[in-house]
Parts: sequence; C-alpha cells; structure tokens
Amino acid sequence: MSDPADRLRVHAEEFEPDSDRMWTRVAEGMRAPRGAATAPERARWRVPHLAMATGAAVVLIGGVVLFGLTQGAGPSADPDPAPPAAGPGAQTSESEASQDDTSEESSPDGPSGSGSSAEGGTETEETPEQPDWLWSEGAIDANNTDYFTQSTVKFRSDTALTGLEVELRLAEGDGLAYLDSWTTDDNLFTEAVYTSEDGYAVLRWTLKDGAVVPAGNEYTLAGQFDPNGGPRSGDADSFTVTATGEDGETGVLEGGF
Amino acid sequence: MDVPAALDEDAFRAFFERHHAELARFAWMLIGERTAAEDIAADAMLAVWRQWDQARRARSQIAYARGIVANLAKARIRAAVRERRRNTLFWQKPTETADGPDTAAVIDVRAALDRLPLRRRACVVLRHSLGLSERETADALGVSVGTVKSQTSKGLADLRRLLGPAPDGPAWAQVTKGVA
Repeated sequence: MSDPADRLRVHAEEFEPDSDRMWTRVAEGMRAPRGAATAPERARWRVPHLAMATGAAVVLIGGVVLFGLTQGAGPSADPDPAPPAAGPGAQTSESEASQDDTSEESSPDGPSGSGSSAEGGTETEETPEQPDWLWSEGAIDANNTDYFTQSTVKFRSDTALTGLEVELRLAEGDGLAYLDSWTTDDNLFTEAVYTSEDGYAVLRWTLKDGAVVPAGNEYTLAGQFDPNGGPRSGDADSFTVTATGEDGETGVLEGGF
Repeated sequence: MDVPAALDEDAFRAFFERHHAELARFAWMLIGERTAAEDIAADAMLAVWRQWDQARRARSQIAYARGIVANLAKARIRAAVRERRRNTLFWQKPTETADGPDTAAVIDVRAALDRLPLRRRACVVLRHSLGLSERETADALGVSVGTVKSQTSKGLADLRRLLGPAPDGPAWAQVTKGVA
C-alpha cells in the first residue's frame, strides 16, 4: 500500500461531500433568470476610434473625388468612397439571414451598422474595412460567476481564409486572471497567446501554418478567466477579427461584448 | 428554451447525483479545503447546466465539468498565492520546497499534493484518485494523452519521494485516519 497511486485513491474517498449543500448551491444558480441576467450579451459595435478615423477618411476621399470631378477628371476615383455606404447594409441583411439558426439572437441586427446605431448616435459611421463576407460576434457566456467567466468570439466567412488573427481584449479591472482558452477547431487555430497589455488581458489566436479556414462554417474561440469577483460586465471588453481571404482581400471586424 | 423542460432538469439532477462526489473530491484533492471544494464542484455543475442543451463542444458534459473544476481550482490557488505575496515578501515555488532538505518530514497525501505543480497534481488526482483513463484525463484538462502520461508519472515520482517508502509509517497512519 505504499504505492502513491493506492494512497491517492484511498485518500480521495476520505472526503464525503455534503451533497445537499452542493445541490442547494446549484439549485440557487438554476433559479437565477437564465435569459435576463446571464444570457450572452449580443455583440454591439463599438468602433469609435476606427469609425471616426474612417469617417474623416471618407470625407477626405470624398473631397478629393469632388475636387477631381470639378477638375474634369473621370469617375475613376469614385469606387473608393462608394463601397462603405453600400457595405454595411449588405452585411446586415446577410447577418440576419444567416443568424436564424442561433436561437439567442432573436433580433439579429448583428455586428454591423444597425448595432452601432442602436447603441449611440456617435457611432453611426461605418468603416470601409468592414467586409460583407465576414461576420463575427462576441458574447459573455452564461456561466458568469464569482470565480469564472468566459468570453467567446464567433466568426464566419463567406470566402475561405488563408490568414486570420482573432484578438480578445478584456479589461483586467481588479485582478482578472487568465485561466484557459479553447476553440471549436484546434486543427485550424493556434493555441491562444495570452499577454497582459496596459490593463487588458489579451488573447490572440492565429491560423496554423498552411491552414485554410473553409468558407461558410462558424467557429468559436473562447477565453476563460477568473474575474476575482463577478459576475463580470463586458462593457470595457472588445474583440478584433482580422481575416485574409483566398483572393488576398483583408477584412477587419471589431466588436464588443 | 428559456424555460427548461422538466425532462432536462431530471436528466441534470441525475447527472448531479452521479458525478457530484467525484467533482468535489477532485476539487478537494486540488485545493485542500472541503467547503470551497464543494462550492467549486457545485459551480462546475451549474456551468454544465447552463449549457445543458447546447451540444456546442465535442467534449462530454463530465469532461467539461472536470475541466471547469480544474480551472476554478487554479483560479483559487492563484488568488491564494497573490494573497500570500501581499502578506509576505518571501515566496517559494512549491517544487523548490519539495527539493529542500527536509522532504523526509512526515506529510500526508494532501500536503504532498500541494507541492506538485497544478497540472501534475490534476493529472495524478484524476488518474489515480478518481481512476480515470488517460484519455478521460486528457479530455478533462484539455491536454494531450502524452502530456497526461508524462505529468502523471512525474507526479507519482514526486509523491513517492515526498511520502517516503514506509507503508506502515506515521504518514500512512495519518492518511487512514483522515485529514481535515
């Protein structure tokens, strides 16, 4: 019996947990409203900096184009400012159509223009980088307790991706600690690299060498944290999905929780 | 979907009855505090319930629950370490302690486990306290089977060294009479 393996087994049986006490704790948690307090919050777009910069860029380009037109130059410069106006609308409808299978998003205004307009008037500017072939969404998992919280980023692309970086940023606040990460396809994505940057816990996933994300599939990447007292608000958190399609086009989506 | 069907609740209750003791013991072997271990196991159970109707992951419910227990235990241990760091400037890594000259001192299995790095600890506990297979242990911890093999064998070697050879010695006596 000196074998540590035997002693480990015997020792574990020394502990008879109080199952009533445990069930009480579980039952209390089960009674907590699932929809209201703990349903994953849908992503809302919070891209003030990018949006403002983009807005400025659009105005600038528009000005240049206008100048060009008044100078008699052809409309060759025109296509540049045009797509931003059309892009978000197209993306929204795309999102609505394809999100029907996810039950939690009953009013899927999705990660695009309508989301930001719902949130605040200052964020109605859209970025030209927002591609209509890429969709993503961030959520805080329902399992959001004093000890544990999980933030997930989902994405889907209409074109196969040869390049990808997914970045998850969580405000560390008072002692957020990184626990673990996972993805729905470890064959495609690298293990998340965790860093602490300027008060944010940052997780970054990239595509494995030579891996190609097939078009049309939805993937989830998640980080698990000890919030050091919860449940946690995701207000100060954000994520970025940077994707490069097979055709070489790169799209960036940013979002919040 | 917001109002869980009674069937689901029954199934979950059965899941609880079947696995709660295992999860609580796993937590206890990791952190050494009974009440906290029960809380952690209950929270892991609740996490399972929260995603009861989602087949979103390949891992089984119990593997998911074990993984959560490991995460919560890790979080708790880290918090304790932070607290200790705040309270004292001196802090030694457990493994360094284990290599110290007084490792022959009598300690019980729980105290010996505390001197193992957490992943190694989790591996030996899941494999040998709870009797899981290497595959199940790997699934629970999200590591490869190879990692489980190496971590478990290192962990057992650590324990053998820490606990000493005497089966009928004081350490064993202490184990059999139970430890708080």
